[in-house]
Formats: sequence, structure tokens, C-alpha cells
Amino acid sequence: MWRFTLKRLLNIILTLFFLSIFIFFLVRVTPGTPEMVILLNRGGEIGGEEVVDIKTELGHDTSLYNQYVNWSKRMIRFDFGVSYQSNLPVLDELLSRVSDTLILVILSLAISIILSVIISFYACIYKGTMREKWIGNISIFLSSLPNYLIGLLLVLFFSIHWKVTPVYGDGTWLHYILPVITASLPLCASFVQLFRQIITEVIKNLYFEAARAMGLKKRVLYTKFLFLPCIHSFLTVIASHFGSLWGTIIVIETIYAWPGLGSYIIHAVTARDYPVVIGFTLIMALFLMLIYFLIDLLLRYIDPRQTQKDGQIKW
Amino acid sequence: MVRRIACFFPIICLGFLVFTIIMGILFTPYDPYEVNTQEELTPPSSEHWFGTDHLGRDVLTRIVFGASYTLLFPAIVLLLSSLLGVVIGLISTIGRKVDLLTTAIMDSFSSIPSFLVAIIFAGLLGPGMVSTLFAILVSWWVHYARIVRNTSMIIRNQPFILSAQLSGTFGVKLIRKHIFPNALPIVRELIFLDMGTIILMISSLSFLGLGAQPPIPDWGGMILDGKSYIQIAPWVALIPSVFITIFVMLFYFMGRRVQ
Amino acid sequence: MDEAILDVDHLSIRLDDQLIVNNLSFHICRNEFFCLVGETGCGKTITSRAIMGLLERKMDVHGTILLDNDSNNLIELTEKEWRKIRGKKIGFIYQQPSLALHPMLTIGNQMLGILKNEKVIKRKEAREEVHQQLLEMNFSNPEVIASAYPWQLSGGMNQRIMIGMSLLRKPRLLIADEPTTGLDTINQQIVIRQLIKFQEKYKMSILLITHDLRLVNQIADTVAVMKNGEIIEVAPLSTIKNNPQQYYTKKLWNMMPDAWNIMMREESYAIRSK
Repeated sequence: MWRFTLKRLLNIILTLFFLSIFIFFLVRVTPGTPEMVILLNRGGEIGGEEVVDIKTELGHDTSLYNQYVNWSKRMIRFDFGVSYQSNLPVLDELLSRVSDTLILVILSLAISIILSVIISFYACIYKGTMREKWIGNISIFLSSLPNYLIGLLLVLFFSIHWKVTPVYGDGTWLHYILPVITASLPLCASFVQLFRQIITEVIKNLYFEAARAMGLKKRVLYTKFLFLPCIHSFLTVIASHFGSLWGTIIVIETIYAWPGLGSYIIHAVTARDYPVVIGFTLIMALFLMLIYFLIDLLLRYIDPRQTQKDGQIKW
Repeated sequence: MVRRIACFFPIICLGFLVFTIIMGILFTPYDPYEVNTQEELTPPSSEHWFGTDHLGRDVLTRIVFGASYTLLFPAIVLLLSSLLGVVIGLISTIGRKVDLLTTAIMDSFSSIPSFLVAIIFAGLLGPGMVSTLFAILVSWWVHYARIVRNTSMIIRNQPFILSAQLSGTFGVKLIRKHIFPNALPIVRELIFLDMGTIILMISSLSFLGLGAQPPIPDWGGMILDGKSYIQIAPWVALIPSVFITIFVMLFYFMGRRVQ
Repeated sequence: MDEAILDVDHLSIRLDDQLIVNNLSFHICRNEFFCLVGETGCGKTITSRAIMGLLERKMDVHGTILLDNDSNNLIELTEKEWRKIRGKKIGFIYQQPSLALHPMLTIGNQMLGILKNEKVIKRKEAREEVHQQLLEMNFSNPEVIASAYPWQLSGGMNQRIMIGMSLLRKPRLLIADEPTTGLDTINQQIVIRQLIKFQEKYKMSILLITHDLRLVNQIADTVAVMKNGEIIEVAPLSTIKNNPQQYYTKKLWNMMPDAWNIMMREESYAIRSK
């Protein structure tokens, strides 16, 4: 267990190192250097002297190696510099917006997990009936719907036609309804598809039939012999969708003008606000990797077989 | 018999749609780029089947002309990124140290979800189709590289590889002759399954204003244009998104068939 | 050998248009070791699943199965009624014990679950009972076994645990579906001896499904021979052995390694003496 933890933490550090090198050089290779962007934001003319001034100010006049060392030293202290647009520290800017987005992410994730687990177990219990077929078809349909279509349709009907919910912004609980539905509908549908496969696999296992042959109570049978073996695969699926959910959230935030991280990042990206983009990337990578790591630890705790599977691929 | 027809249904649909798109390009009376201020946001009629957008351009014509941007472009991007992924995945099977390096790189790329990578990349390179191409390329090759690497590892541990090694096949030749052909079918399946996802991703990027820039009649961009007029002219945004959905679903079903 | 504990009458099972089991009739008496013998794919396992009510819904089952003088036909029971019979009145042992045990729970945990299913019992007492049962299954170190996972143990051990588990609820009838297939000879003997021991102890009947004729020769009271979904002969072991009515039975019996060896030896002697 400790070895695994240490290995994964080392892996995270190594990954961040690679990522930082990649981003550092990408910013320098791409057309439009940081100095230009700053000058454009300040509204000054792009003259020779000002560029040199900013270069010394940013420390960009030394060698690339020195620049990287200095830059990465600051990155380790979570000092991502100041935003070109607002001249405020990047970390503060990001942190002030993160709560709005996190609420959206957690709400939609929780709703879609609960709903999809219930629906997929329901479908598996009624296997071979029309209900199961319809659940399958609807989930395929919903999971291939693009988020913006769902979002636009919801806005069209609920906000414009029926005037039930506000069109955009945030504040009251009414504002949460449409974004959360938009995010969780396709997510829930794809969960249902994958979960149903997982449950059918578990039902096929001999130990489930053996448990039935033992005459175990319904509650014990379904919780210990059906749900417990599913949890491992469920969590893996959820973890793999957790990352892409953030992409979905960005689209949703732009649709509903949600004042969260997503719309801020899109804004920063279009304005070429390099410190914000870099800070966001590194923090996001660290955050997601830590989440994956925690899920892996949890899986190990739940499923004792996992420790055995480690050495499967060998040289 | 019914099942057999159902099997070809997505392919037939796809063929029909591609055919109509080509016919549309040949026979449309309108220009997808020409601004017509007299016919702004007219609702669907016999003259303009899908109405016109805020600049008075025929939506149907723009959809027909935008098809190549929304369908052909993702296919090219997907092929390129799968090629990159396969090459890197195969390189990682050469040796232990190379494998460690490549897996570390793969990990660092897959630590951020691909759509975020695409957004960040498009942001760093500036919006446009070229940056979309690079963005998807950078974010999507990891999937292929990882799958190719894992399957080749499994193949590598199979007895026939040992017998090939015993009969004197090593290095690049071993990979080319024995590992690559066995890993190929999985990649082929994956390409079909991923096509819909890539279309969705690219259109989402355009919807965020990071993809193809106006006046290119890219469907995602059309949705972005129409979003502002959703209250008075919903067709401008809805029709392209419905088209995207149809194509994504067709590709999805085709992917399932191939599987 | 008086009362029948299980009475199968005109049992037919069909899947789509294919008749898998055709008009099967036999009865198992109290305290009897009943062997169902036949080649692979003749419908033995399907029959055993039908008796347990574990067949899939698409299988079409006809006939009557009566248990223990109860007037209920087992085939018509609902899942809820089944739950009272499975495990409690009929125990079941699988061919692949390592797959039939839950891989994520320890052995002790699974056995505790079965005990708790039966009655309200304190954790400590239940644990004591589990250890007792493991000791009876000839495990010298029940604590270690109870805290192990099935995938850490060997197939023979798992089979013994499986038997101990099904005996926790003291069923009247134990169905063993090829319990010794895949085990080595020594483990086979251990498992079989335990089956015999518990049959004596709990006065239960055992329905042994097997194709291993040495085993049948060793323990069976009554033997039923199945072929292509039909029972072609039911008789006490001695009759089957010495005076088979059917040609197939005779042929099958001659397939037994020892018998076959003796037969071949006699044949070669005969050739030599010429």
C-alpha cells in the first residue's frame, strides 16, 4: 500500500514536470509572445523599447534554462504571476470563481450517478422486457446529443416559451436547474449504458448464481453479491468521465453565462492571458491527478483483488 | 432479413446524406457567404427551407457548404492523430526505458481531459482551424498510443512472439511483422467509435469561438452565431445542432456495427 | 430406503425448439446417495439447475418436481418462495468452486452472511460456529482460512469450503454438480470422504452429478444413466454393475478405467493363449 502511494505520488510529480516543460516551451514557440500580449492589453504601441522593458520586467532576457528554472520555482510556490487583463494574482482570480463551477460539477455528477445507478439496476432486473429496450435506446439517443443542443432546447422551452427559469446568470436555486440538467442528461445516459454492461457482466458470474442457490435474502443478494462487485467498475467509469465533465461544464457555462471558471477560462484563452491559462492548466492537472489517485486508493480498499493485478503487464 | 437491413441502415443513411450534400453544393441558388440585408432572420419557407441567419444567408446552403468543414475535417484530424498515436505506441514497445519515457509523456497528456487540452491549445495558438487541428492532434493521440501500447504489451507476452524471437526476428521487424498487425484491428474499431466524439469536440470548440472563424460556414460556428438570436429565430441555432446530432448518432451506430 | 425426498416426474425442458431434457422421471430416497451419470452435454447440469429453479426465463420447463412430500410443484414457485427452499432445503455445490465464491469477501465473511441469513445471531457466536464448521471440514487452522479470500486458496480447499458452506444450513438434499472435476485424485478423495461423512451425520440425501465412474462405483446407492436428455436406466449400483439392462449402460460401465484395464488384459491374455 505504501509503495503504491509513493509510486503514484512520484508519478504525479514527474507528470507535472513534463507538463510544465511542455507548456513553457509552447508559450515561447507560439506566435505572439507574452510581451506583445501585455502591450496590446495596455493599449500602448508596439515599439522596440517597451518590449525590452517588459522583457526585463518578466525576466525573459536571460537564457531559456534560467527562465525555466526561475519560472518553475515560482510555479512550485503556486505563484502564477498576475493576469494580463486585470493585473490581479492568477491564483486569487481562479479561486474566487472555482466555487460556482464546483457546485455545478458536483451537483450534476451526483445526480447523474444516483439516477444512472437506479435506472441501470432497474433495467437489469427487467432484462428482456420492452422497458429495458427503451431504456437502452433512450440512453443511446441522449448520450449522443451535444450539450449545446440540449442547452439551447432547454433555454428555448423553459426560459423563453414557458418562462419558468431565468435565461442566464446565477443567484437563486432556479438558476441551477437548467445547467445541471444540461450537464447530467448526457452524462447520465452514458453512465447508464456503461453501468448496464457492468451489471450484466457481474450477473453472469457464477458466484451470483451460487448466492442465489444458497437462498440468500434479496437485500443481501443485491447489495453484497451484485452491487459490491460492481462498485469497482462503476468508480473506474466515473473517474474516466470526471475529467471530460469539466469540458462539458465549460460549454454549459458559456451557454448560460455562468460566472464560473469555465467562462473565465474561455475569456482568458481568447484574450491570450498566458498566466491564467498556464495556472489553470497546472492546477487542473494536479487536482484531477489527485482525484484519480484518491479513487485508486479507494478501489484498493474496496477490492482486495486489485493488489494482485498490479504485475499483470510485465517486460 | 430485417436484421440485415438494420445492419446497413446507418451506412445507407450516411450515403444518402452525403449524396444530398453533394447535390446541394451543385444545385443551390444561393451563395453561403453573400450577405443579404433584406432577408435577415426570415423563418423557414419554400424559398429558404431552413430560413436565413442574421446576415440574411440561407441556412440550408451554409449547412451544405459547411459539411466538409464539420465532417471531412474531423476525419482528417482523427486519422492524423491515430497515426501519431499508433507510431508512439509502437515506439514504446521497443524497450523498457523508452516505454517508461513514453508512458510518462502519455500520463502527463492524459492527466488533463482532452477537451480541456484542446481548449488550452486553441487558446495558446489563437483561434482558427489550424489550431483546432493541432489541439485535437495533441489531445487525442494519447488514447491511441495507450491502447496500442497496452495491446502490444499483451501481444508481446504471448508465446508466438517468443517463437518469432527464437527464429531470429527482433526489434523493428518484430514490431512491424508481428505486433503491429495484431494491434491494428483494435485501432480500426476505435477510429469508427471516435468519429462521433471528434465531430462533437470540434463543433464544441467552434461553438466556444475557438474553431473555424466566421465567415466559414462551420456548423458549430453557425450555432454560436444563432445563439444570440435564439429568442426570435431559434432555427438558426437549432438546425445545425440537429444535423450534428444526426451525424454523431449515425457514426456511433456504425462504430457499434464495426465492433 | 422408503420415503422419497425428491420426486421428479415427467420433467421436460426445452429451449426454443430444442428439447434438452425429455420426460425425466426419478426419485431420491432419504439418506440415499443418488448418482446421475452421463456423457457431457446430455442434460445432467440442466436437470440439476431445474431442481434448484436456477434456469433462465427463456427455458421452458414442464413436469412436476416434488420435494419432501410437500404438495407444491417446485416448477411453479415464485422467486420469493424459492428463497425459502434454496439453501435451506436443497444445497448446491458447483463444479468450479473458485468461481462460485465471492472474490471480494473473505471466507469467514461469506459464511457469517449465510448464518445471519438464517437466524438472528450474535457476531461472536456466529464466528464460533463458522470456525467449528471449518474444523469439521478438516481445516486445521480455521482462523487463517476464515480471513482468506477464495482466490488465495486452492481448488480443493475451495470445494471443501463450498461444501461446508452449504451444510451450514443443514439441507435435506445436497446437489453436487461434478464436485470433483478439476481436482487431483487426492483432493477428490478428500472431498468425497467428506460428503460421505456428512451424509451419515446429517442423514441427508445427495444427488451427485458426475461422469466419473470410479466415483460412482465407490459411493453410489442408486445410479441413473442419462443419454440425450433421457434417463435410460435407473437401478441400484449392483444391478447396474452386474446386470445392466441397456447396452449403453454396459458400454459406459466398461469405460471405467479399472474395468477397462481388466477387460483389455483379459483380451490380451486370450490372444496370447492362442
